[in-house]
Amino acid sequence: MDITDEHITDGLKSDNIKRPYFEKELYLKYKYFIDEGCRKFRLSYEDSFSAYSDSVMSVIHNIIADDFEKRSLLKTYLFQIFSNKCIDQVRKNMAVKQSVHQPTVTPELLGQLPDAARSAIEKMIDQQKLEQMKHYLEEIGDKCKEILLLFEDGYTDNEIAKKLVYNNAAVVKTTRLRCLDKLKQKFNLKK
Amino acid sequence: MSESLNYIEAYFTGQLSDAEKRQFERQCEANQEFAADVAFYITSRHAVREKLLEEKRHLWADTEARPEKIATSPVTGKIMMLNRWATYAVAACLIIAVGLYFLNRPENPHQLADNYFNQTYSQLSQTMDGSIDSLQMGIALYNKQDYQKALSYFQDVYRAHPDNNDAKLYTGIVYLKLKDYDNAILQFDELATKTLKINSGLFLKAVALMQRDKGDDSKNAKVLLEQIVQTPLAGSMQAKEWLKHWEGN
Repeated sequence: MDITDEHITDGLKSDNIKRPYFEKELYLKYKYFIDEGCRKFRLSYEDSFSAYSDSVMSVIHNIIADDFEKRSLLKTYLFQIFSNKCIDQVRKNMAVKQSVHQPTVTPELLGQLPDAARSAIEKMIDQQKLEQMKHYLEEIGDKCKEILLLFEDGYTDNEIAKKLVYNNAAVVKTTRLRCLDKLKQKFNLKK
Repeated sequence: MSESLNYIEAYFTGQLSDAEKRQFERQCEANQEFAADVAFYITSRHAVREKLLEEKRHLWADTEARPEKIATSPVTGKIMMLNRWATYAVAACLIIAVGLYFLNRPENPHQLADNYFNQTYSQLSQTMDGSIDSLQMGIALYNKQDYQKALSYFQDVYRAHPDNNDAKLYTGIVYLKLKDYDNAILQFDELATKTLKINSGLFLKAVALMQRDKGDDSKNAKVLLEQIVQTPLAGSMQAKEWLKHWEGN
């Protein structure tokens, strides 16, 4: 029998040990969306695959953060996010083709800002800075990288403390912010 | 500096009050230095996200992720004590034992339908009529296991030629292959309403219900199979055999 959506959402929220298993189940269950992306949005397989895996990760984080309220089917919810990411990809590809400007970067966090604040920040973000940041991420040490990756993956400071054997959540938070600070110094130094 | 990052993080993790949020947003517009800090925070989080995504892609696409619970079970613990060859021998014995158990176990309706479908529809026959190329291409794609593309071809053919019942039949079959039973049933229901010499719509609907196996699906499939035998309709021989098995259970 196929694993149900209910099983997947409950499994993702149940405990951190089982999480990778249910993440993969979700990824595999709707993997055929990748072909849909190629067909409906005329994307290359790589672009559609990239949009799909990105969407799966967003859905996982939303489920864990209780932002998925089950008002729609998981399939519909995932497909909606996937369609939006495909459209973003189409726009990026068009911008590259027309060489109007550098490929746009639209971090999800930008969406939390209102229009005026958003446009003030948006112009300070570009693909080149993002690539530099990814490079510096490799230079801040494995522990720092791991803690930042876990936080980005939706783990709370408390869960990170248990996983990486820190005294408590407050220590994790301080360490995490110091790691970001370290990254910032590298970034500013080489800018 | 951590103070500034702490404040920025508080905004993006929803820890500020409405008034504090508005003040934060005003600062983004008016204070260039602060805006640069926010841009750094967003860019760094996005860079970490992209790294994370790379790791996930690797994990999801290339490796088997299993719950750690399995790895820590007592049986697995004992197996770890044996040398590699002994482990392989134990694993082989277990596979044979499980295989024998399943071979000898009476099949339930779901398994019957699964076996039937896998044996009958692993490949579709190319039709001799070359008039509708898209249908042939759909069949070729199905046989190459490119089911999503095959589906779009069959759907396109049916949209352009609503009288092409093969396209409708194949659409339903692809949905079955994709385990999208709800859509498969919709196709077979529609097919069953058509006047054809041989109409396998109802029989395939029964197959879909047996495979889906939710709620009253088995019961409803049995009613359909009885109707197919009594009328008789396409698939009556297979239906008769399954009904015998059903009564035997």
